[in-house]
Amino acid sequence: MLSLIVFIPLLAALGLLFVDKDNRAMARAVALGASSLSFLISIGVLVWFKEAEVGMQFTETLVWVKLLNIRYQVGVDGISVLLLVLTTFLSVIAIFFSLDRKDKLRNFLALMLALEAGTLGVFVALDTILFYVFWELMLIPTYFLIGIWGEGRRVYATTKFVLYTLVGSLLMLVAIIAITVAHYNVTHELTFDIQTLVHTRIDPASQLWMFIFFFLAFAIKVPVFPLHSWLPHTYVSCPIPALVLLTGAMSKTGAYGFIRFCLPLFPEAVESLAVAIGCAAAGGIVYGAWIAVAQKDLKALVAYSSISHLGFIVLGIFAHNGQGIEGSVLQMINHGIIASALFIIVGILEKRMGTRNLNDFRGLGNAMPVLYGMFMLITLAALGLPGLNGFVGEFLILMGVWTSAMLSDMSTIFVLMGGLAIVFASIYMLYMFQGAMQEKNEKLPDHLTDINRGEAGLLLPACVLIVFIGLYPKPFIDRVSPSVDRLLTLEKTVNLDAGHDAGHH
Amino acid sequence: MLLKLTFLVPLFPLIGSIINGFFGLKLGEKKVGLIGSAAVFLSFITTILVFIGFLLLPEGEHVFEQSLFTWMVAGDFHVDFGFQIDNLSLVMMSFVTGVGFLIHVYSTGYMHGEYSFYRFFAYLNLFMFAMLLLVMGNNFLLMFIGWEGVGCCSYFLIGYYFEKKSACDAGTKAFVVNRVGDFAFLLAVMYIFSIFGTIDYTEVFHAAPEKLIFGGEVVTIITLLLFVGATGKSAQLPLYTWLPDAMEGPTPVSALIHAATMVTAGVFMVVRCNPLFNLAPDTMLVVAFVGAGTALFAATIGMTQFDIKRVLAYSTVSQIGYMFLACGVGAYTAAIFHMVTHAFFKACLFLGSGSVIHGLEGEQDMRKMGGIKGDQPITYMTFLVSTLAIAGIPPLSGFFSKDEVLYHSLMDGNIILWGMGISAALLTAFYMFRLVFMTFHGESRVDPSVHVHESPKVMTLPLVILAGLATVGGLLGIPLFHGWHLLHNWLEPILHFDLASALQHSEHMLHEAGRHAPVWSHLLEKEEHNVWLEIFLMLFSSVVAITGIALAYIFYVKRPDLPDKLTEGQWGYDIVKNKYLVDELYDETIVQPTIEGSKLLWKECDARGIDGAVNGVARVIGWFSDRGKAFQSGFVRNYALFIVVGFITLLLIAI
Repeated sequence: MLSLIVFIPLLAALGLLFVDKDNRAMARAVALGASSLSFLISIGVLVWFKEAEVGMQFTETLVWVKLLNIRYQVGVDGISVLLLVLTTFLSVIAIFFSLDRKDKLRNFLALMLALEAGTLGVFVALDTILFYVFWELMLIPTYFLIGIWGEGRRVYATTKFVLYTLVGSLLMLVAIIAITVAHYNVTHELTFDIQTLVHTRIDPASQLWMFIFFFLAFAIKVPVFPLHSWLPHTYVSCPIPALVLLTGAMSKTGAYGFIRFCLPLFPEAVESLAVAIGCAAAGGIVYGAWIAVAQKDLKALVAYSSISHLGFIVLGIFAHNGQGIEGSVLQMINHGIIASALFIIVGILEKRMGTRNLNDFRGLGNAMPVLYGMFMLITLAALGLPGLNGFVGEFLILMGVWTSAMLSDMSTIFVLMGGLAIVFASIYMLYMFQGAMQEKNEKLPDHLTDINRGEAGLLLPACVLIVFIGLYPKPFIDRVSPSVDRLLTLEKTVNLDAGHDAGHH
Repeated sequence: MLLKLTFLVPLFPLIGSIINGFFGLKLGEKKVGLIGSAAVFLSFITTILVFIGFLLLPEGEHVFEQSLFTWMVAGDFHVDFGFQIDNLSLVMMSFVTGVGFLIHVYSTGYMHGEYSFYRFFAYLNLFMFAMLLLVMGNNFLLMFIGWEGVGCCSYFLIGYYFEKKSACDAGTKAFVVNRVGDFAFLLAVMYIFSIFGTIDYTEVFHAAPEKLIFGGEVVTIITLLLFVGATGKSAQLPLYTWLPDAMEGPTPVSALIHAATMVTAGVFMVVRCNPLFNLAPDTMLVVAFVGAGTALFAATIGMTQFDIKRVLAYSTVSQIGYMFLACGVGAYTAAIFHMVTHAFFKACLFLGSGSVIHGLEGEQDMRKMGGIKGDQPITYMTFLVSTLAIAGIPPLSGFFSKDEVLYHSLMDGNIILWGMGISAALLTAFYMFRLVFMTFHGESRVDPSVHVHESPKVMTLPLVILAGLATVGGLLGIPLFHGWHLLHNWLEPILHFDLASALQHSEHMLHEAGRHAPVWSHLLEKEEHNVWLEIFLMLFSSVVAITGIALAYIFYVKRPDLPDKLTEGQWGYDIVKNKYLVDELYDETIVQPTIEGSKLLWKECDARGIDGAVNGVARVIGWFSDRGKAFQSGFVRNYALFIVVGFITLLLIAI
């Protein structure tokens, strides 16, 4: 099933290349059909996912490169299953939102599907090489999506994005190989299987550099402050449908990488660097939120606020306890829903007003009452109002940080920084809302209409989820927690220090 | 069993809000008003049924908990979505739904013909829902949903006229200022969890004396954080600045949210957490002084304002200060007593001012009023009764509750606190009668084109009922006679505090930690209830109130030229009139630096610093690659060689 979810979009992307490029109806049908099918199957996976079962489910294994024992191996646990569904869900939304694009629609849709497939692959891959392949696969469509359909300094932005990310991922490749070699040295067994490798104890010195290599790759992708400087350029240039996937799903691959690789593979390195990473994450929380206060371009505003929210997620992961990591996973979902909905609203406004600048809006509320209500709800969720989804994630993360043994001395300061960012968040979100929807505007275009059914349909699922997760997050957390428990109680059975095969099962 | 109906109390307003919010536009004004009011009325009736159910509980049971579902579980953190019915929450529920219902009825008249009438009632019902969650929740986090929920509804309603920039600004300001306090509250919740491993009231309060050292650092920090939260929501120093601006909202909102219910949430929270505050004498002192200070401070500003609603807003800030003063000296009953009576008379005053504004077709400036008591007889009479109540004239409700606060501030506090309280009482009587005289008496300064008229029955009836309650509300707490104080007897189960045993536990804990306990014996000496002192204080404060009224009479009826003469060119008066320039100070020291800092961080640090560094690295690499062009021969075999060499090198390093 998982292979279907990943490869349906990928094959559709390839198939689109055979569709006549002027046959827009066909291109639409293929793209929409593929992404919807993928979404439906992923819902099936979520439904049949056994909540209480520990370990990977829906696994599929094929030998890929026999010589090196590289395998095509996929599977999901409670953490990745939610991210999988989030990605397929956002893809449908993003593709819907790009259907009325004028130029080169077919190619655009093909690249979107390829991006979806790459992201999905990252979440299901259980073989490090396979993971790496999907990781790089995400990059190529993004490069073209921004480079061709972007705006402003799009080539500069996309080149910067790709080079920056590439540096990180090459470092990761080195570390991926090094881990397998380290494992091979002890067991004389060549494997790239993540589930096997996590049981290997690596000596602390090697752990440190390998961890840093992995960390850089993921931290650039998230991004973690101060490695974020590609993000404002990229987000401002990126076409909005692609941005929905970029911010909603792709930025989560970095955070997911921390959980899947960094925490289980390098426990000692994590312990010694957690406080430093916490400083970067907490710094980013305040930094992004503070800068967002002065933004007038709506895209830039949401971009900087994303830096802040993603900082929360990273901070929660490195709190390294139940509340922190579970809160982070939930917050990945929440941020995916909220940020993508905000970008869609930005797109809707831009389509009608021809601008994204807050100074040029004002007073849309009377003409657009439906959007007013939905925008308000999403705004409140983004600033973390209790009863809505953003609060649950933020609260659990802060609680995790507060009680974290790993961040011990700094935890109070981190929590206070989080609090400062929450206050900033209410400032920039509410001023954004006020600037766009409220007050009076004499110069509104006459033909201004409220959002149509299609647009409302794109925002409605987000609104429903925002309220549902806010009031009843339990089903989501219940799926995550067994996997997190396993992660936190992982035992290292293959001992490198002993110098021989100590416990190879 | 009647108690099983508990969950319906908040559910009715929620349903009303959903119906009105989604379908209100099609339903039309009549039905929207009916649904909105009926929802709250049903909630009120259910509250009474629950109340009866509670009274029927067997002897010795004082708490009923109803858990609906598990809200969050993560790691070892667990919290339910559940309600707690006890003596305190019942008092709150009764007056919130009761006063809330009257204000809903009034609003159907006041908001008549207003554009997007349905939106108003949807928000108002949603507010009732959030407020009921706040008072009924059985744990700190549920209180926090209500806590921010009411703040959010207050934001909606302040910015109800969202085409007015000032209204939007006021709403946003209220939200942000509250957020500061709210975060302190959240910190306290986290701290409580890390100490107790739970955030359920019953468990936390039960374990408090055994886990927290009396006067220790932990309990002091927790309670201070909670109190900072309270200063935000209840508009106390230094976070009060949002409340006067909040008067941008429609007047019924000011009555319901910014006078009777939401702003007293902080007081409720402190009383709810009394088992914690009792253990933190240092915090109590802070609470008392902030309360007394705010009471006096806001009263001085109230004397100088000309906008009728702003005077009432500062009066609210000041009266809530009294409630915190009472909390701070441990007189929780007095705090709740004053909260209830204040809800009656202040709601009546706000609604009365709304009636005046309605009658004058939107005029709020008292300098353009005067002499309208004949035109609005019912409004005038009810307003006068409530003003007498707030001024503390016996035997109206405000007299009893305020005197109880003042008596305790002297007996359990000190003479400074009492002095601040009694001074504020003098000012209260003065500025409230200044308001009455300027609005209703003297010569008319009303714009001649305005036809002054009395408001419709649906508005005056709530006024009459509230004025009636403001008159007899004092019966809840008859002083002097032992056992006649109904409220005191009623709240006894939740306010019961065994100081001696708490001190014993603390001593034990200190010994375990190898430290010595300070001498606490003096705390246990109980002071006798001094009836004669209480009678004397009552007489004294009555005299003070009458003095205040007399002064107002001289200044605003006898010699209306005097105020201008006395204040002309006085710099002290100008400062007070400009609200001590606190808003300007905050703007200068907090708001502007935040915005400027944001720009600086963005342009200098982010674009030039961090991104510049990244580009710099790229440039350096570019320079090297120029030098390294020799390697780029274009032959694939060379590249292959480099890749292999590089790969092997890396592996060697790795191993």
